[in-house]
This record gives sequence, C-alpha cells and structure tokens, in this order.
Amino acid sequence: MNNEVTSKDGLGAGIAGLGVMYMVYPWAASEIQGDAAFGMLAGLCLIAGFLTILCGIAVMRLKNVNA
Amino acid sequence: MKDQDTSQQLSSATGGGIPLTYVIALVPVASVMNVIGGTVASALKLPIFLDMIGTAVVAMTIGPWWGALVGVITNVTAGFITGPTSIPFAACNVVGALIWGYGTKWGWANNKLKFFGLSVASGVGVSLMAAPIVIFVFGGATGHASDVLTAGLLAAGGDMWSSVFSSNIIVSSADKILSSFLALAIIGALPTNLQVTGPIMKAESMGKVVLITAGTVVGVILTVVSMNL
Repeated sequence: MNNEVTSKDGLGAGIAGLGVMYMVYPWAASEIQGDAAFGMLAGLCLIAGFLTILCGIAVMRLKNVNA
Repeated sequence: MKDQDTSQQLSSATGGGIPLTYVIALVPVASVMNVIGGTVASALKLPIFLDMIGTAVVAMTIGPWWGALVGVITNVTAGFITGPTSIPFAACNVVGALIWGYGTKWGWANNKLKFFGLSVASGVGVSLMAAPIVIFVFGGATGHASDVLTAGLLAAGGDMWSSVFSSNIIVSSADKILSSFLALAIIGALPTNLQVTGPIMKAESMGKVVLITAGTVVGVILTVVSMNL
C-alpha cells in the first residue's frame, strides 16, 4: 500500500468534495426557500459548474506537468 | 526564479508525496478549526467570518484542492449544525482555497508584500463569489454583522450590487488578511515537510506587515461597530 499522497490525490479529493456539494445543494435550497427553491438551485449549480470547470482545467494541467 | 525552482522541488506534482497520515490528521482538524472559528465569530456577532483559517493552512501547505475539500467539509458541517445558510457559501471557501493554494505554488507566499497581496487577492476572490450568492440566494442580507454596512451603503444611495459587493469586500479582505496571518503562525508550528505546495515565508520578523494587518482589521471592525451604534 502506498502511504504517500500527491497533488493528484488532492485534486481527486477536491472533486469528491464538489460532488458532496452537489448532493447537499437541493436540501439546502428547499430548506432556505421552500417551494421557490428552483431559482436558488439553478444559481448554485451555476457556481458549482464553474468550480467543476476549474477542476477539469486543473486535471489537464496536472497531466501536462507529469508528462 | 529561485522561488519557482524551490516550489517545483517541493511540489508533490513532480512526484514527491506527503504521508497520508498527515493529510488524514490535518484535513479534519482544519475543518473543525473553521467550524469553531465561524461559530465563535457568529455567536459574538463579529463583523468578520473566521471560517477559513483551516482552509488557508491546508491550501498553503498540502495543496489547493485539499484546501477546497476542507472548505466543502466546513460549510456542509456548519450547515447541518447551524442551518443551511452556510451551505451555498461552500463555493466561497473553495475559491479562497484555490487562490491561497495556487498563490503559494506560484511563489506569492515567500515574501512579506507578496503574501499581503495574496491575502487581499483571496479576499477579493471570495467577495466576487460571495456577492452574487448574497444577492440571488438571500436577497442582499444573510443576518451577518456586515449587513449593517450594506444597509448603510444602501441608505447612502448605492444600488444593491455595489452596496453588497462593497461591504463584502471590506469585511472579507479584513477577514482573509487576518486568516492568512493566523494560518502563517499555525504553519510555522507544523513540520516543514508538510509544505509541499510551495515555499512559505517564516512568521518571524514581519514588523510592518503585522501593523498593516492589525490596522486593516481594527479599522474594519471599528467601521462596522460605529455603523451599528
């Protein structure tokens, strides 16, 4: 078993964290705005999508660094 | 150039790794530190947040995306403890982690002035992410002490966007400057082999930078407190 972690593992952990965010957003939206949660959820997904794009760019950059 | 070389030598991206036990120890502790800081700031109605100190420590030491993970854990945990209001702001914590982490990787944490700039940059970045959330999700007010500043700016004739962004950037910059320097003190107490993101300056002999930091934070606190009276 490899007991060391690299920035690649960190990136994976960050992406997993974003996944958790996606999973919790619907609950948060319904708790805060009830029936009118759609607009809030749309906005939150927009932000999370932006962060996911940053993740994708980071993955590509990491691949280049290791090449 | 030398900074970059050192950073590359230290970077785990180049093949060097850090022990998994350090990560397993550091990430939950940093998340708890954030939750406690945020809870204390909110309980004392302080016009700052204090919920990103752990994020700064992790992002600057073991990497930006580990910091992002700490940010998400912090806000999701706080969401289950104090209510869902903090969950949308997880994105702000992630953005702060990325700025601190990549800033350190690019050598901005190895020099007093650059480090101060990095702190301000994280404050601005977090505000850019926070202002739309405050307006679209919460209608301009979240119940935080900084809402007083927003109300004051609105009363002075500003529009909603500029008032929310202005108050947020003032409070957030002070908070991030404070968090950065607290994180620097904590990093100084950690083993140096944890600093794999990039070179980080020592916390000693910072003189003027500490004065600037203290002045900024005290100034913002006095501004918000005086508007509260």
